[in-house]
Amino acid sequence: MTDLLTHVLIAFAVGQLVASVYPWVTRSYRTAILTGALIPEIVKIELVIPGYSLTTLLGTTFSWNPLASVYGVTISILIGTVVVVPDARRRIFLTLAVGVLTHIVLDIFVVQPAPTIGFLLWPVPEIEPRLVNIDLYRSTDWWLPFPGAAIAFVTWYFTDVATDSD
Amino acid sequence: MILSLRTRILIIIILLVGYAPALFLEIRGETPLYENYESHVGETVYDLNGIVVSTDPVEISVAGDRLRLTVRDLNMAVDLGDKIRIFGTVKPDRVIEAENVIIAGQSPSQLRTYLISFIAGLWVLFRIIRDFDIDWGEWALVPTDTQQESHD
Repeated sequence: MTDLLTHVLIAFAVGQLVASVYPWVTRSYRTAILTGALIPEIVKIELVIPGYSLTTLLGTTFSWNPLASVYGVTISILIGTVVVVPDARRRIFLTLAVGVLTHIVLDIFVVQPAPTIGFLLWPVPEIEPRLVNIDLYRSTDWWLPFPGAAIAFVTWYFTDVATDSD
Repeated sequence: MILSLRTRILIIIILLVGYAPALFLEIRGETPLYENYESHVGETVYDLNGIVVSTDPVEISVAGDRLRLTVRDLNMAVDLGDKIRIFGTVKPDRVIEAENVIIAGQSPSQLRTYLISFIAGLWVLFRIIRDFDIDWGEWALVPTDTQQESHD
């Protein structure tokens, strides 16, 4: 994974662009895009309750990783959709999905040890070679939020400030 | 579609249960080596995580020290305490033959990543609180700017 700040910054930029095309993407829906960018990161529950503890405890193989798979995030998006009022559901579903998509796309470029796409397509087993194998950065690269912030700022400037006639 | 609170709670429970098959199903290359190590000999590990506990030879601690493994054929130098991720083959006698290794984190960079990730989480949380209201009658979240529109 990329660090979360970079994920949110890129989701912010994407939200600005989407809003400039679809006027119904108001501030609340742009927030839903940012929230979507956090969804695959639920997998980091691993840091609090490691999967191996649960494997030992339950006596069966257990892994949090599929929470970040397409299957897992789809369930998470649906949960997010059910907790909002009926009028907003379709839009929340779409904006959360856009946010999740930005997350998955950014993570394609993260350096991985093996040339596979990992558990992304669970239950389809890991695919070799990786469909797209572009190693651009590590999640712990210190410089990563800077281009993220630059992209977010430029997008915000051209969609919000430069077009604001008020 | 207007759903009753009871139906919505039921849907959420069904969705939560829907996570389960994914969480409990074995993923290829992710089988826990610390359970019955020898039965995994010959398997490929795609993303084995461990913390370096010795550098000559390189030894890693896996799964909360449930297992210690010697790593052979490392393509890079590692330091004590490094968190590494290995793509390699399981060999007898608790040896991993590494094909590729990446350092997932050394303590300072890892800490910095957690910290800025936490800040990002707060940013989003703040925006959710600002941009969504709770409709206590419906027990549902309402996007605030659409709510204003309907009141106008």
